[in-house]
Amino acid sequence: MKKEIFFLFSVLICLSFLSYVSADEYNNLSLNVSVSIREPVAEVEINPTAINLGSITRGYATDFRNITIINRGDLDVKVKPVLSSQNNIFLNLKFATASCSSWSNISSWTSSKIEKPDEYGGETDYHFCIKLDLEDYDEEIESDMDLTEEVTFWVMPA
Amino acid sequence: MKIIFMIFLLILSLYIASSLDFGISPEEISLSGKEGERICSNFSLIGDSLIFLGEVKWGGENSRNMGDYAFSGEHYRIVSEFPSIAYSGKHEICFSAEKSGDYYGALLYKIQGTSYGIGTWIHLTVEKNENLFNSVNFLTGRAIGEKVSSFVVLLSLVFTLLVLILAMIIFFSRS
Repeated sequence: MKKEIFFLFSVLICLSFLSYVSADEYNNLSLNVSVSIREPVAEVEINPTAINLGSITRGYATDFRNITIINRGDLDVKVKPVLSSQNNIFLNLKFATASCSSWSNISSWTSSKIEKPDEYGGETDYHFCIKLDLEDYDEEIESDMDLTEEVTFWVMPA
Repeated sequence: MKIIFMIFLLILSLYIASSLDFGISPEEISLSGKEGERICSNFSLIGDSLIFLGEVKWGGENSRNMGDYAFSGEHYRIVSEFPSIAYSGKHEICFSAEKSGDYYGALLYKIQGTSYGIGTWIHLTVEKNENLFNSVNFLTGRAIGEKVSSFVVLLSLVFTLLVLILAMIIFFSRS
């Protein structure tokens, strides 16, 4: 008898649970939707971190070096190279976009707009070239010199 | 096996050393406030284990050309407070301008030990501070300029009269 009561009681409990489930299924048709909205970020990866242009003398230009910028943020950006001083041989630094054909002087060159990735969390690659062009350099070079000049590549929202 | 692992580690470290990942947010720091007020906003720097060295430059017009931003805050009488050395994370930047107007600037952070820097634009709108004008007027012009209610004047006169009468009574009673 006790077993039968226990069985009946269990069946009742199960049924009550079932009724709750069905109520949830048919009466509560709302769905919670959550999303994290983030402030747009200008974020890039630049490669390499330093450039050695090798050896050169007056009347020649160095081989060009490639610089890669990966835009992995949510904003279009531009890159502007700025020399730390304005009166030296590095004013002859020249830049060109990926094809490395149309060269511009450092003072007038700014990268074209590096567009944000098409998809959130994606990447957009941009390449540009750099060389030191002393073909028209007419200053006297009296001795061998190892020169290092700081060029800062500023990344700014476009 | 150890040698393979070491080579793998070396390649990995070379890869890390040869590229740099950094960023800033927001696209433009827009602030508005009144003359002489401290106006603040937040910005974020991104870049694991990077040290950022900051400066603010100002220009005369709304431009997205870095070359147009050549002046320090002194030129426009703007006081800037921001971390000159910063790490990745959220930071506060505050300005205080003496004169009203629209000011355009660039917050620039150079990454220490590299040839790269990142920046964002600043638009600071400063309105005339009427309260500041009134408070100055209050301090300097109270004697001649303050409007005092007639009730206060009457109360002052009555009080003065009472004091005078009391003084006269004491004077005459002694004499």
